[in-house]
Amino acid sequence: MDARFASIGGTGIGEGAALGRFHWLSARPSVRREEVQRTPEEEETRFRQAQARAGAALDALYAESRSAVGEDAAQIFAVHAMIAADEDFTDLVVARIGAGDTAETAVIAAADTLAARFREMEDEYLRARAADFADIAARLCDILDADGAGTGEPPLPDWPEPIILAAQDLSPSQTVGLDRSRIAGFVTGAGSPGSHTAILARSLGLPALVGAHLLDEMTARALEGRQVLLDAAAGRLTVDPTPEEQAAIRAREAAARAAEQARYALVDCPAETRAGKRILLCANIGLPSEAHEAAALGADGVGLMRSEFLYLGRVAPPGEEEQFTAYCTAAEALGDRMLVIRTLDIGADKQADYLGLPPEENPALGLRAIRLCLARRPLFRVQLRAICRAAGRRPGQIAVMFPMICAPHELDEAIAELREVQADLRRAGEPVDERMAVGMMIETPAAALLADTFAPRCAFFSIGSNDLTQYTLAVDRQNNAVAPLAVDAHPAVLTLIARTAAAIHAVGGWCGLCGELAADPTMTETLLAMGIDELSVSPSQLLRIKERVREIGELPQTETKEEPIWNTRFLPR
Amino acid sequence: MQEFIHTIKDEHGVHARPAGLIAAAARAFSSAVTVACGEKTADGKRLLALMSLGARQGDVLRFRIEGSDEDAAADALRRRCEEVI
Repeated sequence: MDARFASIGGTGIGEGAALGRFHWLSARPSVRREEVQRTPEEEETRFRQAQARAGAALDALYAESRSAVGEDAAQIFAVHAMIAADEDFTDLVVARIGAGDTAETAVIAAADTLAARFREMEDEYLRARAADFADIAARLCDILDADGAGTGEPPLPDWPEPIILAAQDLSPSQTVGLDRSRIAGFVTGAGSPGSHTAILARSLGLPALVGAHLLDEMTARALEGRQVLLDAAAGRLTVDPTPEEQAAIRAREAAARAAEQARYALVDCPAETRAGKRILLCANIGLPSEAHEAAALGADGVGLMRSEFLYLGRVAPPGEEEQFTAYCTAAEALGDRMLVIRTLDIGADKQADYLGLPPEENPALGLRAIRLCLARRPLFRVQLRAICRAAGRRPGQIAVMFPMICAPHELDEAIAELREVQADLRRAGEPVDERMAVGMMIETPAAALLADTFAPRCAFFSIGSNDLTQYTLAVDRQNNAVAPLAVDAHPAVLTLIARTAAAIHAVGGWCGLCGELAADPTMTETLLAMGIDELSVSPSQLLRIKERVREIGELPQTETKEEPIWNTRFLPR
Repeated sequence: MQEFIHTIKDEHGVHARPAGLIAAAARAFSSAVTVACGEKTADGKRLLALMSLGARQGDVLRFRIEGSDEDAAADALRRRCEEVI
């Protein structure tokens, strides 16, 4: 065999590995022979209709994938919709049609012209957009060919073995229509850890190799149908692996699967240490639909619903009815488990056009979260009404918490607003959950230091460890130059956490933690020892943390002030 | 005529998403919008034209807006730029 093909290196995505047969997916759409003769006017009408259909289909894909895989991964469909409707693109197509091309030929030619233009650009991101034009052309041709009916996705080869799908670059709409149950991994010649292929692979839990060297159309043709071993951890694709190599990978994968399987067995087990200490293990969610996933993975509830997700990416704030429905939907998905709704935490890095907020020099220290809500009372009241009505519908299940409280008067004002809303609802004859739990986030050193003052007014605290770390250590996590200093296990942060937990315990309340720290299994024991009663993590981390909790035995004694349970090992070196 | 400049802060420059948002903002007005970056100029209402500027972080975009609603358009575009790039 040609040594050149023995193995191909690249950037591995994920830790997994897969065996399968290599299949190359060619991006270029085929031009069908047109039997029917049409006038240029008819061709232009066909094109414009296909363009409208493609736009609608892409908008739908965007909406669908946004809730399935998140905004970042879904954005590509919004971009494709914009490109498909772009005037330059349209002009190019119409000009070709005027010169006698069919709509299909014109679309492909226009896409080629634009792709060539972008391939010559200096910027790597823009060069990568060249692949998008081919993808959009393929979509339009599918619609033209099938008169809008068929999906026209190329079927996968009919092999019994799993397929390692390779391409120069996989486009989102290429992958969306594929039978994913038959795909064991992805290999692309182009792409980076942030590319669509990488994002897709992560969301499917499949290994991938992106930016694979030496993978071009010619190499790929030679590899078609060959057995390959894709090892993402090693960043390598091995062609015709030896039986020993195959056995080693099978063993490794079996062990990984067994570990994951074992974790699934924990879905219905309580988050309880071996010594019998039970904590609440909850999920952080953005949209109500994610509550289903949380429930399916055995969460004890939702410890943080980031309500601002309802406010982002739109032209006006969500109304009371829309929010009411969203909160009820999330609560229903959880059965009778707890749902903690955090009021709007917008401002700073999360912006909404319609609020018309001026840019700030220092947004992390600016008009955000409760500060914004107290400055914009009508906005705040709409949300509080929706939350209170949902709580009235499902008494005892929903709790509300206020973000970014620094001073007692802020909490007082927020609670006063809440009480007024409840009184209004009561007067209007709406059911009100009289005992709805009210809590606050502890995410500033000020809040942690005054935890004793805040505690009597709260049923619970939830520590936002990301912000608490940022504000305590004066480190901007987004700034690569200082990000390594953002150690959320820093003794200063842990001291504030311990103080917070002690303060709320003194008045019979509970203390949760919903930042990244909650998802760090090396810190679970420490947090439990400090008295954290609830950990809230992203749904994908639930079982890993539950597994860790269940390994913990007797917790170290933490009551003595002289012997802090943290030590210098948490200090950055 | 209204003019303003904007320095790109986004690390990815004028990529597809912000270009689309800027073009959409420009299309909401009847005034003509031209955007220049270095030697190149583009029609501010066209997504691909804006992307073709190849503008990167640190580059300066020069907006020129001409028409009956140029004041409002300049205002809206300036705000949009602050938000997205």
